[in-house]
Amino acid sequence: MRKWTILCIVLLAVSCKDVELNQYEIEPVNVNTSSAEKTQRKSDLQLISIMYSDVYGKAISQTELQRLSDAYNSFGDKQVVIDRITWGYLNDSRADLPLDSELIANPDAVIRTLYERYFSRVPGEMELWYYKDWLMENPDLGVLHLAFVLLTSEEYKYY
Amino acid sequence: MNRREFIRKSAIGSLGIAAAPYILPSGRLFAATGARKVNHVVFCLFAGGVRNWESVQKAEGNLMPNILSGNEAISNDIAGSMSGLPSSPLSAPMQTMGTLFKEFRFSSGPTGHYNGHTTAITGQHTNTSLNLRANPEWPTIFELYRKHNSPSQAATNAWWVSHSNNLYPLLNYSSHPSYGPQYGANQIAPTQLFSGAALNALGSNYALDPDVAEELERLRHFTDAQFDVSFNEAAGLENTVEGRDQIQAFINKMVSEASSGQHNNPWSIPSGMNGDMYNMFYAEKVIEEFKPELLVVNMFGVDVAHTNFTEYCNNLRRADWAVAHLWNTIQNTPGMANDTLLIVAPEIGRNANPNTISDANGRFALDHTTNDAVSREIFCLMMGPSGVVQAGQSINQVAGESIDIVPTIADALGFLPDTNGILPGRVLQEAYV
Repeated sequence: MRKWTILCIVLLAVSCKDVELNQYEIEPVNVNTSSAEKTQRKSDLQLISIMYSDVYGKAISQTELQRLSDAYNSFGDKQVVIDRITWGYLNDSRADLPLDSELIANPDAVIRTLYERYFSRVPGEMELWYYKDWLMENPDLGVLHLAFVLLTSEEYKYY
Repeated sequence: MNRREFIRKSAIGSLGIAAAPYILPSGRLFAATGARKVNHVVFCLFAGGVRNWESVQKAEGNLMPNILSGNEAISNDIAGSMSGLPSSPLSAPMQTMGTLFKEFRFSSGPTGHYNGHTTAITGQHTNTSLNLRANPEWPTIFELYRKHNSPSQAATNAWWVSHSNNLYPLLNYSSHPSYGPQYGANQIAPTQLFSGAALNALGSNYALDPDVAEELERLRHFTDAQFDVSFNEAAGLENTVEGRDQIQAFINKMVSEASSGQHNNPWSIPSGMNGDMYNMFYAEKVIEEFKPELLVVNMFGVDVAHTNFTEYCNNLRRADWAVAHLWNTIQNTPGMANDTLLIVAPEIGRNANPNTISDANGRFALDHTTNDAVSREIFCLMMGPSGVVQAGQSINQVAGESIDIVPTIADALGFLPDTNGILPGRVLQEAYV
């Protein structure tokens, strides 16, 4: 009996021994969704209401949603209607957009801002290069046009 | 001639001989298998449920004097409740200029509006399993046209002008695996799109400088190329860039006109235009702008018969007048005049027995819920160029049914043989010269 008691004490002692663990961590960074992970198409109402929020920085009202839904549902080629609605949003003085002066001063930052705001991801290096190159070739075009292209793109229709 | 030159000329000559049979007088390289009777078809669904008793059988008098010949007096109580209409847009009733099938049939399937529309637009019978929230199972006439017509035509050549943006836009294209949105028509519900709140949402100033538009398109093309999605995953049909430009310009014009009041009773109807008339008005605008090879437009006002028989009769007269206006517009549109087949038919009839709701004249209202024989009796009018469609012909015996309309359209546009037997109906040959 005494032997068993000693054995139990030893086992308990061993089992309670602290084990030093090696923990590996990385610095916390924002992980952005890549476009490849977007597989679900936004519903018509989602697309309209999310775009409204993205442009105005506030939720769409029920009245406004109904107004836009009526137009959206009344024409078969949705891109035709989306182009018009988006153009109307972006030309509204209440639209929350970076300034063209900011784009000129720091195109990288503005392009990144628009990508993160609308696509919930950072642009790839090639995308960044292409957009900047496009802006250099079209000095008369600015934030309004970049935002229009992003908001009417295929990727924006998915989440 | 050396050997090399001989071989080259022989090859060109052989190619020419081989290709010659496929080059049409019109300059088209590839012909649809069948010859065309006309180059444009307009199909007007005189819908909402019209009973033959009140239409071609004139039980209440001739309520459709623009379509039907005859001066039968309208019942006194109904006549006293009629709203005024301008004189006919035409010099003679349409019946005298085309072929009227007086005993046409919606032969199978529930006598509901959506079933009736689906049958008329797909050429297939339906049953109670028809899903009202999904695109039809069988290809629509728009898809058949856009897939099988040769050469294939842009979506701006096919239009579906629906009276509402609820449910009926689904008839734009089917869920059939061999067809789908890439062959759909440009669906438009103009009475919703160009009125009220939606009108404001469209904005009137969507006009991009062509150079800017080209640059935006270039950037969009690049952006979309980074996000690969196949067409079938996308919702809705797509137009070409040129097609979209034309459509945007058309919408700009409509919005501008509607906003400035030009669409307030443009036909000067004394009692004002109802929804049917407005839908036909906008169908005419589409015709004038796009001169489509295929256009389907529907009406729906007669469905007021569920609660008001007298107003049902009144709306029959309005619809009749609107059809005459449509034909007049077609015949005055260069490119479509004398080259258009017009088919007019209700989608379903109405019950033989009334319900219990009476109107101010003590007339009882009519549903279309029993699938009885009377609710399957409809009519069909076919109009077309002289030398193509028989003028002044009235077919009084039972002949033709609504599944025959799609093959008749396919035959008229010359692509019926390419539909590979998918259509159960027949061509309404009786109407042709």
